[in-house]
Amino acid sequence: MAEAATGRLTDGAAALPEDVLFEIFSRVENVSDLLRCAMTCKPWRQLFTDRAFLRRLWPDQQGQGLRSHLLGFFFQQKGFVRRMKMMKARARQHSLRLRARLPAGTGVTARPQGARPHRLRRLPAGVLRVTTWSSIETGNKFTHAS
Amino acid sequence: MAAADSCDGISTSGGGWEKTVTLVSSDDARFEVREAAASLSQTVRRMIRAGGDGGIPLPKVDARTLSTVLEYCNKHAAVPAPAPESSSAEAAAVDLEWFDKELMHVDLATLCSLIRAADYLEVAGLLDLTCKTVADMIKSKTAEEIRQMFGIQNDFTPEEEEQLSRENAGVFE
Repeated sequence: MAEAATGRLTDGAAALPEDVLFEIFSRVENVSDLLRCAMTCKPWRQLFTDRAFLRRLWPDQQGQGLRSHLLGFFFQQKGFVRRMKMMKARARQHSLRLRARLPAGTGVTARPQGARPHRLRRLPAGVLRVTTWSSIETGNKFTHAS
Repeated sequence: MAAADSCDGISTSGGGWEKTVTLVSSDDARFEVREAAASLSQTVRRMIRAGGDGGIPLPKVDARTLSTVLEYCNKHAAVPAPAPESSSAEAAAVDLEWFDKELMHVDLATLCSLIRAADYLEVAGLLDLTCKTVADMIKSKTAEEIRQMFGIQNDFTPEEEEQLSRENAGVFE
């Protein structure tokens, strides 16, 4: 069967067409349950970031709140992944320069956490590992948060 | 039965014979069903209206699934439309509810073929019943449990997954 070829979907269940998945998901009443479904795999997450799909799921006025709740949540996820990739690329690019400008002998190891300081959020408290710099401003700005 | 057979199940109005149709599954099994029951499927109803002989082909449904679908249709077609409140109508409703519950005592793979069939055949009641059953199975499960249930391969990177669960901590309160 198809699952043998792809090696991904072991059962017909996950390969259900979108219409059928919609029929199932539209009967899941709890948004948290839907969020967990969306966290299982990328195709399912894709569904929950599809505005048309969400509009079908919650067509009415009350659904608007739920829609933006989910959309906001997942676009944040997407954004995060994008930012991580971007940051990694920049980190590689700037690592030498950054390391050269670190205060010598402090033993602080630093890596860029974000391209824009205001985007930094939800870093674990108590961990001294926040370093930001601006490529626009001259010089580097180091911020240590704890 | 001889009378019914001779004219492919055509009945006379209000008589002892009920009009029947023949449905043919993907694996060529033939099912003779009362038209009233078969008509619970909008797809079949349209095909009946379009006419044709030699049975209605349903290439997307196998015999095993179709027999369950028809079991549902036969049961539900037998129940008269919402009658005035009487004890018998109430009993019928309870009986039907029990029947539905029993019908859903199958594994997920079977349930999924039933959903596909109900979707294709457009049997609204069965689609609702099966989807509600799966939706209830999803309830209060973790993402990993849902993956196991559906046989989904986790295709997130550990990094993405960590971020997902971290962000979720706040949402799932």
